[in-house]
Amino acid sequence: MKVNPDIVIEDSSWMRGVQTCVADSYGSQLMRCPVHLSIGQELLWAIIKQYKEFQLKVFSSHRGHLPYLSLDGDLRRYIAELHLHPDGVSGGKLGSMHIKSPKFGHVTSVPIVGSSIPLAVGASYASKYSKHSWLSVAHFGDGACEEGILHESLNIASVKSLPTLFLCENNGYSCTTSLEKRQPSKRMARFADAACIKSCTTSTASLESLINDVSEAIHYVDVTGKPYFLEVECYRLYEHCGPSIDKDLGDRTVGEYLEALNRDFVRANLKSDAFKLGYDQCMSLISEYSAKNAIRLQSAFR
Amino acid sequence: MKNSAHISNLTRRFLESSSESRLFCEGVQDSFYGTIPNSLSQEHCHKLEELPISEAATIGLVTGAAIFGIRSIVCYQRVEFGLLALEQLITNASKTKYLSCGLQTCPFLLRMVIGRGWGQGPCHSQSFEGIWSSIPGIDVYMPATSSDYTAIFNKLETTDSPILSLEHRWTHLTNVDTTVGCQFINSVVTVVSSSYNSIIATKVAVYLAHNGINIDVVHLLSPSDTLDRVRTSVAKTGRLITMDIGTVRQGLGGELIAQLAELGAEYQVPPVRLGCPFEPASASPEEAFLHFASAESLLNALCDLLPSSSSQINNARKELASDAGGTASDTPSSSYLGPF
Repeated sequence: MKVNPDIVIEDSSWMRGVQTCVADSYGSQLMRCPVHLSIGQELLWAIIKQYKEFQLKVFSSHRGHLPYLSLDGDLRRYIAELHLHPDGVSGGKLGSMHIKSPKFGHVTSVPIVGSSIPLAVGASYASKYSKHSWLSVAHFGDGACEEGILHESLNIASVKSLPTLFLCENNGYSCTTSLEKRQPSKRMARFADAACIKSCTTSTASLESLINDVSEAIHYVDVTGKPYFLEVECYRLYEHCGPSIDKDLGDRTVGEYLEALNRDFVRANLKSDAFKLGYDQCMSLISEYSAKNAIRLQSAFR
Repeated sequence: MKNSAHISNLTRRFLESSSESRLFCEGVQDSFYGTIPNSLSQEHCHKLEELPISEAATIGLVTGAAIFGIRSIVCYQRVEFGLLALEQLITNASKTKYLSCGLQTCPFLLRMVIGRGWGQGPCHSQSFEGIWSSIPGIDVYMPATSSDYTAIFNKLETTDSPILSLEHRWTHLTNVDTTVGCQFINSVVTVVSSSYNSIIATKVAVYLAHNGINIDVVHLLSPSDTLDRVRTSVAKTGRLITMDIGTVRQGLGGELIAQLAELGAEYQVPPVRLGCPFEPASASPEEAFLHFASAESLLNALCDLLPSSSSQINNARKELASDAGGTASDTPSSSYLGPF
């Protein structure tokens, strides 16, 4: 299938508008849960959105807003969940760190680093023996590569030949700790080598190569029925958890941040209308649920 | 016929009953102490899945597969290996229903073996039932008899949540016609136990009855069993002994006594808790024997609770020792063979 770059940029801009609005509105303290945004990492998920026909089953982490916006995109249920309101996608019981949409293939988000990876492998196992096959995606970051569960999961997927896409977003940071302090190499795909799993390292710096590499990864898993490890180098412009831009927290320097900002493909190619649409749609809903929460909390805690 | 063969039959029936049933076990061809079939018919043989040594990923795998309809059995050679899977059990398996607002289910049976004696030592003889029982969303069972194992497999057919079976190795070696638990109108002590301790306590009760002393033995298949039988018995006897497979501290006996206290239970003498001390188990035969609750420790506790009946209790002790070839042993019977 052919991915349309214009649509990818438009969707990325919309996702950035949505997330920026969440960040700008968080200060009112009416979204009463820890929010982990992915501003700067939108491109990948705008591409994956084009692959819905592959019946994707995505298992992600605490940083799961983009898979949701990519596969579901219903903003009312999203914003309501961030406000822990019963209208939310999980009835307001789980909040930001568990944002998901099982109905549309975002099966779960688990905020214990690496914890959801073997679930994707299990879904692959079920798919292998099902008449209605789907494509399982284990979505995690470079931090999860430091957890033993990744290695167990890669090993099982390889030895049992389970069609799992291991999708690693390498944003170079665990909270505020740089990769250099945590691992002896910057290349996460090396872990796939040990499990004899085919891999590729790509980047959000080039839309064309990212589209090609995502396409190859998805088609490889779909056609061969074997696992594949796709590492996507990217940059998170905002802080690990919260509404602020991260220019110099922890190991990060202003110079590094500005360099990343200048490289940011979405910013350089932003479709203002799409950004504004996402921002405005989000703002309208945040206003609605903030008002509801203000009344609700006053009643609950008086 | 031993319980091991009975469990093997139950496993075969489970695997052949549905296209979605599976069994995952490292060393599947070793038959897991004779409790899983060596082979299945051609149509079903793919359901016996060999595993890498990856306990955590295995629980994650069966959880993910369960969401999409696969109903599994997972076998770990000892409870301690399950500790490596604790995070997956707590974060994912036990919460699948909750995290999906009831839309997803997570049916699987995790079988873990509790070792005892024969040099099992500090890392192959723990049960940690207090830990497993503290996880909401998991049903914990501590079987003793063939009917217990049947009940667990029946539950597996219908459950939508994980089931955990803590299987004392010595219960695999018990005859299928063994029964546990007893009640008498004139019982003077209530003993509450589970797993292999129920076999011990029931045997002690038989020898005591020969000597004119009746005790009730209440077998709890699950730590979450209703306490109605215990309440009724304690109201009659006024004396309670709990027998934990694991440690007394943070054990199920303490939890049971706390729940009875909330229900207003009254005693003639304070309740007694038997079980392992709060220290690792030795591999030494003599020290291992002293570490676990046993017929000896139960009889000693009964002597303390019923001082005026100590001669009858000691007579029962002699008869039991004579028939069993001694009550002090680190094996379930003289016919027991190593290595596991």
